[in-house]
Amino acid sequence: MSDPAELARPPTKTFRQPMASTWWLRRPSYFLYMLREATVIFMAAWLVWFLYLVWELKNNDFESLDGNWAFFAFSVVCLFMTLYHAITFLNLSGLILRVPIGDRHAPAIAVKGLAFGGLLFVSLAGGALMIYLGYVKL
Amino acid sequence: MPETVKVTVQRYNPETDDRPRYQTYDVPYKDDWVVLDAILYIKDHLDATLSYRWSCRMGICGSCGMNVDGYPKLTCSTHLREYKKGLTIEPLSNFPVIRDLVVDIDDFMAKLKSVKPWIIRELEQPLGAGEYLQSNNQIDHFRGFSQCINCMLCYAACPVYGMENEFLGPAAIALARRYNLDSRDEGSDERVNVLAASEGIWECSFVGECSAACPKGVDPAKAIQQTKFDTVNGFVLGAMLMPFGSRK
Repeated sequence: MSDPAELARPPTKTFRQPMASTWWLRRPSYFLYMLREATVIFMAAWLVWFLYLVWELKNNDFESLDGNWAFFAFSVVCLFMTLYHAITFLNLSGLILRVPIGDRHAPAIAVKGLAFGGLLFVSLAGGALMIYLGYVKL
Repeated sequence: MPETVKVTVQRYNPETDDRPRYQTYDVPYKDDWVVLDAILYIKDHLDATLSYRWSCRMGICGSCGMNVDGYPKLTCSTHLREYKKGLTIEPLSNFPVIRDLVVDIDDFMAKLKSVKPWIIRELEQPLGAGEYLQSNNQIDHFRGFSQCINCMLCYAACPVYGMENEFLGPAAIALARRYNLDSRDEGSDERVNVLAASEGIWECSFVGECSAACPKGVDPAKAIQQTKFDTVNGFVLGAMLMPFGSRK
């Protein structure tokens, strides 16, 4: 049953400002958020392009990858996009992960340091492995 | 130092207006005035029809939240000297406007209540049984989240809430987190269904503006992300990995 006070209250005419489709241009922080979310589009496009180039290899068209400057330039852009996403994501690790140490938790800076250290280690180890296996020539 | 400052205020009268309009007032400039002082001056000396909320004037009650030049602020804690060239005051974004600078807070109040922001015990002890003791370290776990004054600036800053009004929102989740982390509380199971619903924590895509807007440093974005992590952790450990019977 409705609250009698609610029934007694006359309906109020209100105005709700609709959210503009350009809301993300209102503040730099909103724009950076949208840029972070948009990095996935670049990564998806890069992957589609990469798979297309791999598919072309079946025709022994090795030049499709070798010396493809457009793909190289786009890969550099995607690298920066990925790094931006990774950095914003790992910056959160110190906030989100609560590593218990007795009655307290590990300091956020230590968790964040471990996360960035892990990224650096995996990147360097992956690069070293590629060089060792001969996939990348220096 | 200017003698006056131009204060533009969004006006809306539901009885006569179909949509808001703007009205500009010349308000005396005083270096130690806050924006709320300018609004009070308008009400007392220039236009008695202006409607707004305020109470304590000391950043505690959370009543005087408004958009100042597009940013949600507590007007009692925002100095006029930051806006010497003039300023625009609007009601908090993302809420229905009732009149002038007054917004409808019913939706927020319902959401706040839904997370049961109070200490829940499985078995209430009589008062004579004494206090529920806590160490300082236990208080530190939730102290930051307990600073929320329900001013709703975080809701005004959150574009997710602006687009999806069903979203539970930053302050309600931060307060749920505050009680879930409280060593005296045993009610997290009663809150999880609200928090883990599709309108709860998973609606948040971490814009982070709620934490930037919070005048008390509550960091609701942190509360939401931590709750996401704990919810998944609890599900994986409790429902999938632990032997049956270990879950409540």
